[in-house]
Amino acid sequence: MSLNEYFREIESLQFQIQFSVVGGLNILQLAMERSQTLLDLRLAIAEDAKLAQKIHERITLLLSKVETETQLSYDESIAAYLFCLFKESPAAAKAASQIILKYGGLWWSVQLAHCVQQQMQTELA
Amino acid sequence: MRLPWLSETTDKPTHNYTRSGWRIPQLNLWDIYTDPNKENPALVSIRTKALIQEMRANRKTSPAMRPSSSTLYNCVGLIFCSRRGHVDIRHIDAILRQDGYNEISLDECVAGDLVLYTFEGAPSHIASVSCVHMFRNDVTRLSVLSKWGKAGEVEHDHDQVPAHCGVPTAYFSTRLNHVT
Repeated sequence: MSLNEYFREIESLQFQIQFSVVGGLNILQLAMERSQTLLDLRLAIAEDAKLAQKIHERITLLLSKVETETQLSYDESIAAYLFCLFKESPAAAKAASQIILKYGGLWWSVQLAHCVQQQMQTELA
Repeated sequence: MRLPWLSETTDKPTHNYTRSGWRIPQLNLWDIYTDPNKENPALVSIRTKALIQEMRANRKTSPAMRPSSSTLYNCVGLIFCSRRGHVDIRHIDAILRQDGYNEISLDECVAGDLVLYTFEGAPSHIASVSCVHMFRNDVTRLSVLSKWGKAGEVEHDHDQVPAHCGVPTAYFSTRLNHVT
């Protein structure tokens, strides 16, 4: 699958709704751990470090769309990208989580960004 | 008729308590949203309709969608905070214990009892029984009311939920005749 195909799938309504039903952050992370699409994307990031930067750029692009496009909030898509970065490229995840927290206004993405920041701080300590 | 919205009463987060007096841990929505009482109902509706359409395509029974709300709450918030809060499902065991719930069997369920779902062994969703369907003296299925995460409220068969809501694994009641 090409990177653009991953973007198309992860940003589709079908992808977003399947993760929008979860009742808590731990279930979201558990569900994302089991997602084949995300497992494949994580593998691709692990093989090509440049992809982490492209995904970071994609997160920034989606964040700029959140307020103007009401048909999709992209919350679960952004959370999925952040989850993949956190698993495969923690430094990129830290930078992405800072941008997400700066924008705010999203549910799972913001919670996951807080979680990433906390875990990075714990690891540093 | 829609009642007037008293916005001056919503400027601070509210707290909810169990019957034992334990404060239910709640996310402070104001930390995340500038105004948590203004969830986009159109977006909630789009999500819920898409989920229902997907379930129909999978030949599952058709759930009935309730009107969307502009307030953000989840399945736990629906049942334990009267649609006023978002409580992470990981607190559900503590809430059930602090509220004095007892585990019962499927056959003992009546309207008002609760169905707990698990995903990969972890509590993932909770629903309230709205109707018990029986054939002779056996329960054949339950209709439940629940809220599917950020999607809307839905009335559905208890075993017909989106995959990430999990599977029904336990039933709970506060009825006194179940106290051992």
